[in-house]
Amino acid sequence: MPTVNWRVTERCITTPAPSFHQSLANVKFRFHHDESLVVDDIRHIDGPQDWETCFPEILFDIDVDQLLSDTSLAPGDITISVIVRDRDLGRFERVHEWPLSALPADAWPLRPLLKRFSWSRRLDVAVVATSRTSPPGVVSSATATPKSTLLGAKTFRVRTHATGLDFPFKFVEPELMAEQPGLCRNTVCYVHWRGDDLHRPPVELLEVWLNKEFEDKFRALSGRRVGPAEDRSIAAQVWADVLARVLSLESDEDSDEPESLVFLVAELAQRQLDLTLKELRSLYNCPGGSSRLLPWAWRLVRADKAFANLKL
Amino acid sequence: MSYPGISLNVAKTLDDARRSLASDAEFPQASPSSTVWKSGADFDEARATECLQQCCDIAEHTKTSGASHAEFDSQCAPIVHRTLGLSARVAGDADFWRWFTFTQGHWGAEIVDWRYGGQRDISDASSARSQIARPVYYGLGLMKKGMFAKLWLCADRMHVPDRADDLNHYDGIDYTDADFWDSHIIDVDYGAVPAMARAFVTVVRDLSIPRGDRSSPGAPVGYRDLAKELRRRQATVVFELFDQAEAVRFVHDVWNERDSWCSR
Repeated sequence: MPTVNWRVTERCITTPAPSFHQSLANVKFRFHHDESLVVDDIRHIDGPQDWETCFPEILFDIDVDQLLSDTSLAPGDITISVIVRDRDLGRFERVHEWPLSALPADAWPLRPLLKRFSWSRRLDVAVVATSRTSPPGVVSSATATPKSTLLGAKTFRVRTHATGLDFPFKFVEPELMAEQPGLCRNTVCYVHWRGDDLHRPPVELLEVWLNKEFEDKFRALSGRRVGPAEDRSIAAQVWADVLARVLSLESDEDSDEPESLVFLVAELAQRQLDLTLKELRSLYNCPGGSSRLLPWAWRLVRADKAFANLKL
Repeated sequence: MSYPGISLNVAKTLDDARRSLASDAEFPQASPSSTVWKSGADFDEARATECLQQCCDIAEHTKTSGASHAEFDSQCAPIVHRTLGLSARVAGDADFWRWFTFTQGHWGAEIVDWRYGGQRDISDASSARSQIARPVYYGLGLMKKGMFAKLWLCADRMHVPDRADDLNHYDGIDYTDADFWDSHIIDVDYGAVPAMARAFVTVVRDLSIPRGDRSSPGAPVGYRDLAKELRRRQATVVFELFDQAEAVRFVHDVWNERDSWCSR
């Protein structure tokens, strides 16, 4: 009988601070003067022209009573800070802070403080509540300075609109999803193939269906824009499905017709993956080859104008 | 008010052309029309020339003295940061770094090739071209992976603005370990908080904390373990609120408490 060696280690778990994010749920943000202050956490920008004309503002609509009651702290023990995280420049900084009792009543302008940051494609503006003393339940040794202990945070993310990821889609009822073989009502995304001849142009061949039940979430992902442009995981799923179809064809069926799906996929794969369609196909047909699909799809999604290239 | 940039597509074309050239051919020049002048900040091109000249001198000195590439990085980073004198607007624009790499007859790209292409002899142009660096180091991938942008970012995080003496202006930049900077400063969120980045580097340097190897139970605890623990604590501690002294104390405390979070 083999000997089983159990390796048991005892670890001292650092108790995380309890979080009171709910108190900050109504903190509002707007990127442009012409927007209304809303609590949605994603804003899309189109690029520098949006930065040139933006006037970001925050309205600190914090539920003070709830925060005090949840944390059992006095108002003077809580600080509210605004932190800007420029993820392109790699610069995270606190730009301002107030005691809880002295928060601005009106929308607070952020633009003058953005000079230290780039016109980033990925900027986070976080409103954080921290305590000056350790709140009850926090192991004090877990934090060197109680004033930095996070009580709650709300982060607004400003992102460049993902150009090139837009693809034609339509929202369909969950029932229609359930009618497709192998799908259920909760299927989020489905590539509906309208034909089998992959030598036809893609626009005649496939259609991306998104479940209407998740429409709000899709639209929230897209901020001011309508559409699932930012959801790269969906885009990757679509590409994986397209690749699977194309790679399932026999090699002698490849097409020289420049408008055909096969030709367009081959062209993009050569450019982005540095592999010919034949090489891709042989890899795909190896044991376990289907597991390569999604990584390939992700690399295609990262290409410029990934879906425009497909001419959907 | 404007500064130069090269789009990703133009840079890719230049990169492709470099790779396909015979060793004795001249590098393709970025035509004036391929440079985009962007609004929002100003930049004096003479600064780029001066910076590239100094970087080249450091590369030559590194070669002749037999110093390591990591030492080249630690000397070059403050030069790039100080000489270019970039505003955040320019420094955060990947187009600018691509321009900087391919301008002046690909001077910057040649330094990148010497640093990352495995070619030690920068003065030997024909052999330098035989080992061209991966495109990512020219800034054709993530901005922070490009060589010059990464050097600037490292120096920017170590920059102590209120220090009068130049030697300590970039506290910690002298720590020479390429893997350390890539994996534990540039690629992590706490590394984007200047006080924490400086605190981490100086604590690791001053205490001579070893690298550590998490996959080996017998290896001593090292800065890799410390970095992992800092990332874990970032969920509940707002590092951006630390001043320099608090950040150093925090990193010290976490390291001193290592028996509580590391089972090795």
